[in-house]
Amino acid sequence: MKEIIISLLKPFADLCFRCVNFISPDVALFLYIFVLAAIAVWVLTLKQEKPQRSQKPGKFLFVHDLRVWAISILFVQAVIYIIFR
Amino acid sequence: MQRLAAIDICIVLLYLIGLLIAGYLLGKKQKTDKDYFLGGRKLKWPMVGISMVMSDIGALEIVGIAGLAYTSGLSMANYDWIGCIPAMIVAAFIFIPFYWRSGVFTIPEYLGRRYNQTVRSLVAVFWGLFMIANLGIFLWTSAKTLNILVGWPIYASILATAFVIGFYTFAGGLRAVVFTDTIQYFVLLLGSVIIIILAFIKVGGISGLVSTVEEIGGPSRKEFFHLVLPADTPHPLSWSAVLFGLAFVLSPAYWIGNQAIVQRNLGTPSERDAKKSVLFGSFLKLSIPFLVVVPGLVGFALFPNLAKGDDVYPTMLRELLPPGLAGLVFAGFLAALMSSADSYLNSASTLWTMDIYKQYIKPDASGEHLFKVGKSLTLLFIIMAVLLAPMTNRFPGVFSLFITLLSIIQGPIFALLLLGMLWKRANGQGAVAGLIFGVTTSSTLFWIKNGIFKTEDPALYVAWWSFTTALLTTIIVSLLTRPKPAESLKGLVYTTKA
Repeated sequence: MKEIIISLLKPFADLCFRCVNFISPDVALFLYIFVLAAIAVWVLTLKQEKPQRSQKPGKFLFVHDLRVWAISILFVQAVIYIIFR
Repeated sequence: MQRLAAIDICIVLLYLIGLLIAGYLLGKKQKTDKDYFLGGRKLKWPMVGISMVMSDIGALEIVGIAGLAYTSGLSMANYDWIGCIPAMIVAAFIFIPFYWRSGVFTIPEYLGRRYNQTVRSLVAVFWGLFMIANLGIFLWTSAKTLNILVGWPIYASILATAFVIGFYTFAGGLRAVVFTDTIQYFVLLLGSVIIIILAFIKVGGISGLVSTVEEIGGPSRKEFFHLVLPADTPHPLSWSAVLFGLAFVLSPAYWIGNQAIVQRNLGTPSERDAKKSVLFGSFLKLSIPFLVVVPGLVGFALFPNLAKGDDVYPTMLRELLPPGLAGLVFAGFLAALMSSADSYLNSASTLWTMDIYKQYIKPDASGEHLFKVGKSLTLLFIIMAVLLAPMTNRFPGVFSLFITLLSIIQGPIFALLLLGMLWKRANGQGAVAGLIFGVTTSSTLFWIKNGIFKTEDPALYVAWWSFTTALLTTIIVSLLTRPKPAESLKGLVYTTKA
């Protein structure tokens, strides 16, 4: 049974391996950064994450927007990957 | 073998007694299931953020990740960086607020409302068993480390740690877990910083580390300081495994679908606080590899001939620390092991109480009754974990075992959560078929792994394929069967309002 399943899946597994092996670590790094950047862009498209007046009275600063927190974290993460690629 | 000095033992004992007292005091005013399982929804967001991270980095992670960093290098940091941060950001803005608004106690409860009670029960049983098994792994890891470090007998260590964790979780519920996690974070931080500084002084700084690894490691260590590894690397963390298996499946499944993680977010007083707690947790995650991966890297330079990678962290503690500091770092290590175990214990009790006991045994149970049942199950599960712990010794590496267990169930459950939240057409029949087929796929792939995968540890690829098959099966079966009425989906799908 085990051998039959392996023989059925092996050609597909080899094809997948050849495809991913074709991509170099430098291109893979680009994919990682792209994922982080895509999430940052998506976060920017969300509506402003301001506190309600009852939660934080007073002037609204840009750091109160939770989107700024997220984008800062993603930016630091991207820099780490570029440094330690 | 170096033993702890009297002052070190005093520090450790004071720390343990403090935890027991905190658990007792925090549990005194609790009366209902909401108090016990969700901290009365009064938990502070910075503490919840810390608790999320601490639940993730137990002794298992410290011993296991440092052990794998010892053998595989910096690529292990992927688990905490791209393997956490993108998923946590997405969770913060979509999934966590969604759970919070729906007012559920558990993720299976959400799946039950979204699909049907069969899905709820299946997921609760999968997760419940996984958590109890993991409690056993946590106890074994800590006992093994205590044995190397201070020579305590393994079974005595299992019983001692189980008693402390069991007592404060039993007495204080989620509030005690979050409070003790916060204290434990700072103790762990202090302990890790001390050991890293001492290790770097001994190895000659960063340049000393790099030159020593190049000198003793040879060609087999050429990828030691890289995060992005080629697809044909013998290490389990090739770029493709990291991106597809970890970043796209296991990580979101963990931060969005793991009851032990999400439960504390549900205990915050507002939706904004829930979001802030996850974002704060992701910020802390940036620093975690410096605490858990770097000791493994430096450990290779200092002790290159260890029999097993998992021995590196206990060996560093034993060999590097002067008397006086040992107790503090040792307390930090205990902190880490307890922070994961307490979370899993509390969440296992929540799942079995809310999704099994309340659903099948006593549907009309009051909050006070469920509170008592939850406490009893906490006690039962810690006893079961003690009995299961020795089985961990049959596996080569503790972290690999954890990831293997995780990859069997996480992919399919994540597929159900994703479709349930984002696609109105997904229905109960599709979800049951997807879950069963996904778990069958992951189990089969582990069974035949040597025949089709190039790496010896394909857990991340297994997660990817089990997720994909569960996703496709759910879509196909849902399209072939009757959709759920639109009215029953209000507030349960992202595009619908409650």
